[in-house]
Amino acid sequence: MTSSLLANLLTEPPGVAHYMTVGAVMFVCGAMCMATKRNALGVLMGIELVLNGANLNFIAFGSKYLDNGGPQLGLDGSLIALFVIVLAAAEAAVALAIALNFYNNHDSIDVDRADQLQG
Amino acid sequence: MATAIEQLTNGVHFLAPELILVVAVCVMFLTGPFFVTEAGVGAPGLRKRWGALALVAIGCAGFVWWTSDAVRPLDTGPFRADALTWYVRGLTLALGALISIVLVDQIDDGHSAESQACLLAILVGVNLTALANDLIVLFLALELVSIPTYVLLYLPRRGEANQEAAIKYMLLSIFSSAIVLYGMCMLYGAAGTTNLAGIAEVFSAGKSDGAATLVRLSVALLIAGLSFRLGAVPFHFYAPDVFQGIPSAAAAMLSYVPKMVGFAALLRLLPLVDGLGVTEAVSGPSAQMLIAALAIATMTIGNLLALRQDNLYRLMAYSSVAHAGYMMIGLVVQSENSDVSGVGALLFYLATYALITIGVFALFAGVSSDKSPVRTVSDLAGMSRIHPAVALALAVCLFSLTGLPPTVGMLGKLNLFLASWGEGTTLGRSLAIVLAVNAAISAWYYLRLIGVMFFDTAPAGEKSKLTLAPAVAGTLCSVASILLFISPQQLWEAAVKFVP
Repeated sequence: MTSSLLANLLTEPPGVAHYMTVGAVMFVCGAMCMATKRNALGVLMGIELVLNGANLNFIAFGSKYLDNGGPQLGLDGSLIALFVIVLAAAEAAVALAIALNFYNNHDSIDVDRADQLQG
Repeated sequence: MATAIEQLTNGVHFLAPELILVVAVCVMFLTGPFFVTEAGVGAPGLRKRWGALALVAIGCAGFVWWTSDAVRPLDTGPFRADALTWYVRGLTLALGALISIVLVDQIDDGHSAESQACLLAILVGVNLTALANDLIVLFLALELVSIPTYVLLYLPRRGEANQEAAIKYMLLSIFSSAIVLYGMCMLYGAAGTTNLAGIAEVFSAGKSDGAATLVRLSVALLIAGLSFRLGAVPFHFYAPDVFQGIPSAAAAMLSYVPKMVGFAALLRLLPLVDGLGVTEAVSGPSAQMLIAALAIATMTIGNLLALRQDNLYRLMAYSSVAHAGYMMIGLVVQSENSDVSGVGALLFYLATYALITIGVFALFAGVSSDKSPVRTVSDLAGMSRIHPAVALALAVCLFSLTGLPPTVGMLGKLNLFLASWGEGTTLGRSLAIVLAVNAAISAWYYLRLIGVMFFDTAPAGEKSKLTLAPAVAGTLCSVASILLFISPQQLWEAAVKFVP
């Protein structure tokens, strides 16, 4: 099953499936990055990867240049991608502000240092 | 085909309560900095003025909501108004006013404008979630709730605990949004449009049979991502840490708002996959079983972990997890089989739970002061002699959380029980039994608090002074919970009006 899927991906001309694979890889990389990085900025980069993995799917589904095996879709996919890019920027701004504040108190942005609250 | 101007005026009519709030948010964000010094210190009493402005804005929005017509015909526009929208709007505005009152005394004058503005932005986000008829609007509304939440969690106090709570909540919340977004892109890929009405049409026509795997994946991802907002097990682990670190106004907000948006989004998205050609695989047993399993795990684990908490905020966090589990039962019940509508029971329970839990946090804020904070169970000792009225109000709220008469909490649990028992399936009956057992377990830790308040003697030392505004707000909540027990008719009718 896996090998035939891989063979299909390697032999066929680029289609939506290829982009979905890349998107899934980006999503998983981002999730791994968020789970393993101790540096808050590293975690923020993971967030960008995760969001853009989903974005890539939206654009691939909506693209008129790719064969998605069905009728052409409208501009919805590209539009949502634009919105998500702006939103990721807004989120990064707030996240950086919180990270800066965290640095002022802890002299480090190691998120593992946030361990006061437990019980 | 309407002209652009006509569409715009229609849109304004749709969104009037939200637009009023957004205008207030802009005013607060833009003029707020001019009233404080460069060091961020405001004139004493400034926070009361900003709080009053927030209340006026909520009041105006509430007036527009009350005079608006509840239901409009569904079309392919980005917004829709139906019974759910009407219900969520009213609930959010009423509870938002209470949270705003509690928030006034929990922030310093210098940061009050931004904090109140964030709260109003969150309320707009909740309303837009219920208004959304498009995946884009739905996602943006969810984010309009989360981003101001991060700011609101970390603005009021700049202590280390508060920052830690904010950073933990932020990282996990962004990740959960990304999961939701990934689920949405699968849904878009399967249906070919981002419009919810359009998606429902495509699925009910059975045009997307080839995309069954995509839809299955997307349903799983959406449930997982939104479970984080509900605080459902296994996505609950952030809750106790975050609640422990934040002031009570933020905790009150956090126990209502994410649950409301989570359930509103699920109620919009789950019915879409109902008419699908792959019903058996997706929305039939498997999605239903998934939510039922989540509900059972959430109730049981939430209640068991709450048993051994000594910190009041951690205890209330686990209690909010457990209540999320009760409410999820409403999603499992198939309405056509039961006399009591499952979704109606869910919405009714959500309203009453939010009212009571905001009351509890308001009362905590009322008796808490910088010198003698109320954070642990032993801080409540002897409350009945120091502040008898507050102790009585708190006892009523805790009775209501347990589900004992004469409070509305009992009606909420009874509705959920009847809805799930009346469904007649083994699944429904076992859920009803688990609900009853869990309600009994939860009685232990709620009633323990009442025991501490009324039977333990107060420690010697300085008595905390009462902060009037939050104490009055909390007392209002507890009185309302008794009044709603006596005449629940109107709330119940508003809740069951929505049929997904």
